[in-house]
Formats: sequence, structure tokens, C-alpha cells
Amino acid sequence: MTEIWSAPAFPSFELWALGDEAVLFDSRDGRTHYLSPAGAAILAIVGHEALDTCALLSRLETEFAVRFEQEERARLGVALDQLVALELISCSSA
Amino acid sequence: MQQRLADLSADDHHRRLRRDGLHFRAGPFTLLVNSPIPQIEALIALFYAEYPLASGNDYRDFHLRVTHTSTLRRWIRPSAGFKGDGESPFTPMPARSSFPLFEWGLNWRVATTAHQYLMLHAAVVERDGVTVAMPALPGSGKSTLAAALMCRGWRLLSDEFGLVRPGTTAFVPFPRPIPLKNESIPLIARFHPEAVIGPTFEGTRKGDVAHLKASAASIARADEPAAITHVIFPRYQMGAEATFHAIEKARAFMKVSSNSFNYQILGRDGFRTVAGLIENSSCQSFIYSNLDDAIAAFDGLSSSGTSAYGAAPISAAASNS
Repeated sequence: MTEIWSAPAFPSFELWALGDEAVLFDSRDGRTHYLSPAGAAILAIVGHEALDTCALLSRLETEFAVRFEQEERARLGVALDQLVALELISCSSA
Repeated sequence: MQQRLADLSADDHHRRLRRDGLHFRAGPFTLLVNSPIPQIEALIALFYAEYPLASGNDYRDFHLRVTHTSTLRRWIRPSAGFKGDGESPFTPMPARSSFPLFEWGLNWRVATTAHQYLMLHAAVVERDGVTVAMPALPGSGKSTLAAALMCRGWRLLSDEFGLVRPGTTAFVPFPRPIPLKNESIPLIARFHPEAVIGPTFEGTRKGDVAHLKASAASIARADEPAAITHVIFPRYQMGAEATFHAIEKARAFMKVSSNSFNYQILGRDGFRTVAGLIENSSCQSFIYSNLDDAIAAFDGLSSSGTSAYGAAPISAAASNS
């Protein structure tokens, strides 16, 4: 089963990138969210194209020169969960 | 020439407080104050002497009254009540704490209505173009540090309210008496014996409180906004060496926005304003225990947003040796 990650257009959000990290304003409820480097990196990639998990990890490794060991993969999972919960990205299973 | 409260005769000061109201400006706000309570009269004369009088035509932002709660209570366990523009948010307090009640009432009025500003819960000080905002929770040592910096020549813009017009990155001064609490009262009295510190109000809901008068230079420059250069999160820690640590800007953003009175109310404007503040500042945490070391560390900050003490973590004591 392949999980496809994609980012719908997000006019309700305003993203401000600060170095590796980002903060995100959600105009639906006026709340502000901190995005970890992993979350900000994922959003930067899937904001432009839908990718499956393997492709996403590969792109993160390539573009951000990070080796994703088990701990980092867990952190990515947390970041993905946060972005899905915010409805910034969606995941469909193929 | 602008008239100040100190230019009023004692009789006029007394009469205005009891009748038409004492009409004066504190930072960007115009206040109209009424009170028959001698403590209010004496301490407004002490702490607000250099503040400019408002003209009769000036719009008043806040109408504040501190009065005895009843004729009988004026003599038996006297208590005082506060009204801000007709609203009474607090239960009456012992009349011996009338002045703290006035100050808290003014804070409450500003915090709940002045949404033309982003209001950070922060002390703000400035010296030679270095403007430091210090957002912090109560008990962090923010007021003590701001008081010490003011006593050593830094301009006090605010001890409580960091006021920023949305879309700008400059703080609007709102200098007021600094409420020192508990151990900070004798600490600042020893640190700067010339400091004007009012009576100690014992056993208030915030403990013992005594007010430190804002410096004359801070009051005289209350019309001059100051562009931010640093966001510093101070924390008193017993025995700690005065040390800065750089903070990632995204984390600083979250801490600043959570130390605001009205960030949520301003919505997108608040987000963009905090973003502008963070983008234009060096963000650091700061722990300290000794006030002289803390001031030496602050005096090493430069207006380019970096510290003369070098890369983080930055130790003031290490650099002094």
C-alpha cells in the first residue's frame, strides 16, 4: 500500500519560514502553529507535487541532505500527522 | 510649553481629582482620573509628576475612578473600589492598597480595549538604538531586570505593555511606575539608592508591592517610538552566570505570540506584526542572578542585533575576564 501525500491549495493559511522552521497562521480559527524543520520541509515539497512516502523521503534526503534513521523517520511521522491534522496535506492510500 | 502635573498647585491637583478629574497623558493614552482618596492623590503626584497635562479638548481614552466603597466603610475597615469607564471588574480592596488598585485598573482597561495595538506582555527598554523587548511570564525577573536597566540609564518604554501598531516594528512608549514585588523591593533599593520607590503595600494578591518611579528621561521621551533590535526572554536563576543563548526564530515567534494580551484578537494582523518583530530582531534567552553582570551583558548588545559577546551561548562573565 502506497501512501500518496499531496497539498491542496491552502488559502486559509499563511506560512512564514524562519530558517529551517516555520510558523503557520490558520485563519479558520486564528491559531498559530509551529512547524518543525521536518514539517516545514515536507510542506515545501508537497506544496508543489503529490508524492508517495518513499518518494517524499527520498526528496527530503536529497534536498535537505539528511539521512533518515529510525528516530528521524519517527519525527517525520509526527510532522506528517501534524500537517494532515491541519488539513495542509492529505494522504490517500493506493 | 507643555504643562505637567507638577505644574499644578497642590490645591488644584486636589480639586481636580475630587471634581472634574485630573486629565493627563501617559504614553499614547489620555486619562481622566477621579478620586477622593488621599493615597491616590499623593502617589499620583509622586509618580506622575512629569507627565503632560491634557487639554480640555483632548479625547480621553480612559476614565478611571477609585473611590471609597461606602460612607460607613470609609471609617470601619475602609475599602476602595475601582471603576473604569463605568465598569467595575475587581472586588473592592482595602483602602490602604488604593494605588495598586488604580494601577491594576489602568492595566485592565488598556489590556481589554487598546486593540489598535498589538499588546505584548513584555518589558521594553532602549539605549543608543538598541531596543530590547523582554516578554516573560510573572516571576521571571522581568520587572526587576527592567528596573535595574532603567536605573543604569536605559530608557523604559514599558514594564508591562509592549505596544506595537500592527504592520510596524517599533514600540510605542508607555512608561509607568514599575511594580516591584517581594524580594525585588529591597534589592532595587540597595542597587540604586537614589531610586524613587513608593510605600510598600503588604499582602496584596501579588504579595508585597512597591512602585519604582519611571526615570525622567523615559517620561520625557514618551513620544518617541523605538524600533526593535532584540527579543530577549529573561529568567532569574539563583547563582547563574549572566548568559545569552540564541533561540530559533520560529520558537521565539511562538513564545512572543503566547505572551500577548490580544494576539488572537488581531488575527492575521497579529501574525504579520509578530513576524515583522521577529524578523527584525536577534532572539535570545537570558539567565542571570547578579544585576551588575546582567547590565554589563545588556550594555554589550549592539543595534545590529548581535551581541558584542560573540556567538551563542554568550557568557557575559567570560567575556569580561
